Amino acid sequence: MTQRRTNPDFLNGVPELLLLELLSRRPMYGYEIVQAIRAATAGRLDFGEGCIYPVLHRLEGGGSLASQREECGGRTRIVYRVTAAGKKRLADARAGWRQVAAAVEAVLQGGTGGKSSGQIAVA
Amino acid sequence: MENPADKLPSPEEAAASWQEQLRQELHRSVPSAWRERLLEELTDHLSDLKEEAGMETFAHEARLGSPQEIAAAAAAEYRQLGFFARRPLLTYLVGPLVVVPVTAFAVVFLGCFVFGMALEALFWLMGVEPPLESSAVVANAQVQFLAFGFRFLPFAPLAWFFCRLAHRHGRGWTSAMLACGVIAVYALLFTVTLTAETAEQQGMLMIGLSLPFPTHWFNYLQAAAPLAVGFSFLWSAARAKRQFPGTGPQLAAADSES
Repeated sequence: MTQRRTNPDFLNGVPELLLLELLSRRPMYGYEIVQAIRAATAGRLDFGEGCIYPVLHRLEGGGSLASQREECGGRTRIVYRVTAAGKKRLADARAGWRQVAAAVEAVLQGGTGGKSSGQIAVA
Repeated sequence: MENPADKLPSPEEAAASWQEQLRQELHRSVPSAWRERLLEELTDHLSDLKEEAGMETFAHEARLGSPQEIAAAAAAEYRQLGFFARRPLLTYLVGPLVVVPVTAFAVVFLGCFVFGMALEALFWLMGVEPPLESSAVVANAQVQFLAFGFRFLPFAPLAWFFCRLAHRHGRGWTSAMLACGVIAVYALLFTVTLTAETAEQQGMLMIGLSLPFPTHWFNYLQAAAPLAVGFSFLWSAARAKRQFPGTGPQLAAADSES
């Protein structure tokens, strides 16, 4: 019996940020991306690897990624790369993530609020 | 006596069953283009997992996720796409078919109205009556200039709009050129005749399509405008792709109808 190890937090906007960030460094195909996530996070993020493809397809459909069939390791793979629109989206996602992380960190540090210069809308 | 372990499917059979189950799940949740692409990539991923050292017999589901999970993720991501990305044929074929005539007629009528009102206002400000008799030649020149504008005005900007739309939604070059082609056909057939009001005759505006084929060379010039926009878009996209790989519109990506 297999046990699902998908971390629900991973499925809430974070994959988009990770995928764009990793693909902005170099073009990769799906399996490579999964390996890159595991390597970059030291395996801390545990997720169903098959679930990254729908995210990749949505980002491609939205114009943030472009794909191309390329010969890699003796096989023809669908290789993804970040487009100009994707780079802009990544910059926005990075800024948003840093704001959220800083806000959460402030709460964890015992902040009482009222000192922050901006507000964060959480959908 | 038969060993129960013998009834267990082989890793290949289990993987094939997993893929078949996934195909069925996806059949209910996403369009065929998405389904086939996803299955192709997951099959590749499965091959990589098999090649990976120490891969357990049935670990593919533990690594990739269950068919239900993947299908649910695919459906959720597909729903997040905008209308234009989900319905490319509707957007880039039916869209121009409907939008172009409506826009062209609206532009001509609005243009005439605004131009007429502006002339009226000008004469009112100058405190004179519109000179119907004395300057019929000037008035005719004005309306011909206006008609000239109408013959190009809606088509080139609409071609640019659909090219931008295709670019924003990561569509391949076929989507942009499909829309430009439809617009070019309309532009080829579109005809406007404007006659200024004079003392001898009433003003007249005629809009229509010259079927089956236009005889005036000007119509071919009209058709060239949206095509030129489409080709300049392709050219700039190809140049951007050469200079900065991965930054231009996806010229190499195959369009697929959802």
